[in-house]
Amino acid sequence: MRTYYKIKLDLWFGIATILFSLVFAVSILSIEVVIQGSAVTGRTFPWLVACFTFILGLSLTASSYKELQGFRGEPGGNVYNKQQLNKIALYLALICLYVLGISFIGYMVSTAIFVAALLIFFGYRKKVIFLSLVLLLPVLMWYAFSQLIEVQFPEALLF
Amino acid sequence: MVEWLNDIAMGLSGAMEWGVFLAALIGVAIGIIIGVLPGLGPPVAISLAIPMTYSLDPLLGMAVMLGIYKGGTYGGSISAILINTPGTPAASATVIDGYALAKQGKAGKALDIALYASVFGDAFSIMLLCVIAQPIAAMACKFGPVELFSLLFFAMTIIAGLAGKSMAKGLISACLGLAFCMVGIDPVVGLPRFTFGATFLEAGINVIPLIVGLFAISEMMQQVATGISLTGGMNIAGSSRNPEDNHATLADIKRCLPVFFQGSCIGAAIGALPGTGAATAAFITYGVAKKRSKHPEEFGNGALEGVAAPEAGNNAVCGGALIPMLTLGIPGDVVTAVLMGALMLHGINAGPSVFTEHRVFVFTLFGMLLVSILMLLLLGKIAVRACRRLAELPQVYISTVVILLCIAGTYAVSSMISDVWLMLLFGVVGFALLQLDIPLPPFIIAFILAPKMEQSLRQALLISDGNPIVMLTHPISAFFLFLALFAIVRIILANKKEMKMRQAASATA
Repeated sequence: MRTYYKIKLDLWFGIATILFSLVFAVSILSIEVVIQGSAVTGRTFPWLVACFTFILGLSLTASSYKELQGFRGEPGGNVYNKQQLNKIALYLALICLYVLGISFIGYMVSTAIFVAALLIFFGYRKKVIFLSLVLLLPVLMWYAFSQLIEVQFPEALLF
Repeated sequence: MVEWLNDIAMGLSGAMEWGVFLAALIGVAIGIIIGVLPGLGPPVAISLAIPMTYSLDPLLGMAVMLGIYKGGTYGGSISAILINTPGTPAASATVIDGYALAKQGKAGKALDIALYASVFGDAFSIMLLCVIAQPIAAMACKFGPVELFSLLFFAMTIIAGLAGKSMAKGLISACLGLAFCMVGIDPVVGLPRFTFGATFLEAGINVIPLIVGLFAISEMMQQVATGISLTGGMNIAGSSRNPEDNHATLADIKRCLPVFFQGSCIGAAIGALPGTGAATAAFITYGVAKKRSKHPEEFGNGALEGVAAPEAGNNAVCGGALIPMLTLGIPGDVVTAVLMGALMLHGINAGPSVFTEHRVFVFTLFGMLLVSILMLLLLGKIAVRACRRLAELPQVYISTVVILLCIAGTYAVSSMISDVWLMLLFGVVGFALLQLDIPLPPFIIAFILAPKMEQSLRQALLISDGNPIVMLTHPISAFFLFLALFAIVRIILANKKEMKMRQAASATA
């Protein structure tokens, strides 16, 4: 059973799709046409995709709007509450800092800090396992990637 | 026939080489473990395995990934039976009777039947693949660009139509995949497009950050939102004092044999149909088995056939899904789309020409798939005993390791940190799309099929001097377009019917 909130989300997604197709269509114009006058160019397929996306967006918007009219079901709400969304945002922020850390501090050190931060974020409290994970995981990951499959991690300030 | 037998023999001998054998064995073992762990499925595991196996020989890499695919599909049944939590969506139907049997103290019997059914389904579909793949590929070799475009269009319509609840959403997802794939160098004239001045986008969007982001990162985000478990406190259903309840007897296997066969046939057919997948196959086979059973009332209360049917069905999907991937270059499900992406990274384009251009490779894969049937049986027997505790492992350890693997693995493919940022971006996109009920498989499948689709369209239009009617004057092309139209009309009508029912329900509420 769809809720009012879900249908409204569909309506917004339909509008976003229309806007995306329009932006996409405008950016097609920046593609250079090598052979002037040719029936088939680098723009042909993108045009087709843009048109198709526009039609689909329009269809989703129209059907959602129609469904919203006279809807008498449950109002519903977001799947996740504000606290959960904040948790996701914090999780993503931690990952972003970690990726920056790899570039500027070094893989091993930033991985150790990231594992510690992640375990604290998850609420993990067992001290011995916590320490083992913080110390062992960076070494294991570094060994697996750097030594076994010869990946060159970015050269940074620390190790 | 003689040539085919020689090729299979060559493939089997290639698969027995220690490197390939070991890679497949490791793959099946990892797959079973991944399958047992709730929350991780073969798509996530394989997308993480691509960067890890990138530096290996393509054959070894594929052996690991196909092993994970097979092992993962089976492994989901262990946690489904023991802790009432399907390790993978494919094992969702197994929970119904599997856990009911476990509660009666017959966990060993259910696990045995699940294993035998999985091995039977797997063997059936792999043999079918070995027999029919080459003739289909030979026929598809005769396809020109016009036919190829129509075939791809048809496949994409089906995939988008069946992947989610709404056809429009499925198609929008596919269109997004097509649009993102166009970023980079134009395949024909070699000029950059949609790069907006960013040099790192000139090489196009790598398939690894896209797959890892859409599957693994979005999954991690969902797990974080719902809460990561810090302790494994789930109850494992117990065993019985009666030794007959702890393993499947010959009489049990005999009783389930028709269900094995029936489930395998349905599973292989569903697998070969683009856009469906193992979970659908499992539920359909379960339904059919219940309908044809002399005791349908036992289903849901611990019927052995209720475990055998979905397990035979979902494992038969593995071989079935490889048929369109290897013969036509069309992935049957998400996992085969990821596998196709992995092949592309190694410079192997799956499709009809693969049988001529990479003959030894393909038949060694077939040999490896045949050998891995026995591996699944052997490792499955061990896993039934060993994985009981693994199913209880707290999520916190798995989530920490998975995120580290996602980041290091994505970086490993191109040694570019920009790919890691792209992966995170696709993770957020994937999470948002999931909240909007937009199916992700059409996105990925379209992303992978887009270059082939664009190339065939441009070639077809060039041949016909820009006249699109050429799509209808070629009989095979017209046939596929007619099928696509028929599918669109059928799916739209079904959706409309569902919408009317929903509206009626909301009006009465």
